[in-house]
Amino acid sequence: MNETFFELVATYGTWVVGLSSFLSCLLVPIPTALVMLAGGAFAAAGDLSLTAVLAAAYLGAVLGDQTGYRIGRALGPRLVALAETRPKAEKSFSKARDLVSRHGGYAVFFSTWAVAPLGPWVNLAAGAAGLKALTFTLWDAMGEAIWVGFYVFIGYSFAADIVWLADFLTDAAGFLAAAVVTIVLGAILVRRFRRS
Amino acid sequence: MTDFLRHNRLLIAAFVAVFALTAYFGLGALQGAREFRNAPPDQTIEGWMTTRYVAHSWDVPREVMTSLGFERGTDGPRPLNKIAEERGIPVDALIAEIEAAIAAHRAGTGE
Repeated sequence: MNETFFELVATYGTWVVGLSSFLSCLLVPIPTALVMLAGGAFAAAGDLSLTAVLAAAYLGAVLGDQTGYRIGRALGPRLVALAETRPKAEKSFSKARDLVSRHGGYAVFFSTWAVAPLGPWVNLAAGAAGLKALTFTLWDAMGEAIWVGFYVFIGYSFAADIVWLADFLTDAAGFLAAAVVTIVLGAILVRRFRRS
Repeated sequence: MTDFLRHNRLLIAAFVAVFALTAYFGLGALQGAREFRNAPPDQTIEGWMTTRYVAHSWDVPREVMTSLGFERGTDGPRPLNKIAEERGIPVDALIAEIEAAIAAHRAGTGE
């Protein structure tokens, strides 16, 4: 399975890296982290250019996130209209919007790398909740630099071990994402328990 | 207490589910780390690899591959699967050929 993606990179090169990084920001289930790992490894072997791999992965990610954000923004007014027909939903929605405009930048930043599986959802939510375009773009650009830089350089530096690395990093990234969500849900539960 | 549990059923279920996922991935990562300590240093040659990648990961000069006559200069990377297909031979035969070349090279340099 991982090897299929490695072979795609070996055959079509940098384009695969850019395209998969773009699509995975839009909820298409592609293991882009592994594609970037392979891009870095083939760059180390001399098959691809390291600069081109980095640029393709980074541009793909940033453009993908921007697209998700724009889609969220376009759908936002409809969601608001839908929410206004139900007072309870209206209240939660404006609360969510409040939260995003106050802390949205951090959410965007961490969702690009620490909780990467949630990234595409956060983009849509940020757009729908009306997070400022500049705030979104700045935090997103910083976060994606960490995500892209990490995987490409790991692939480049440990090219000979990417079969093992792919499995290990999938587990490690899953652990990180799940741990963050566990802590957040746990904190909400504790707060509700104290109030009850 | 029972009120709290009833009102937050979904949230509690979600918490338990992500906690289980955390443990699953954490144990997977630990096991992976343990395996790596016992892993042999050379990755087995497979069809998705390019000749340059094999040379890089087995730490032999690229000339070992070029001497086999299938690294075409500048037309981009090609996986071994594709090279074997172009030559009309099974990929395992190609891999055996490469392994023999690497072994010969290592024997030649006294490694």
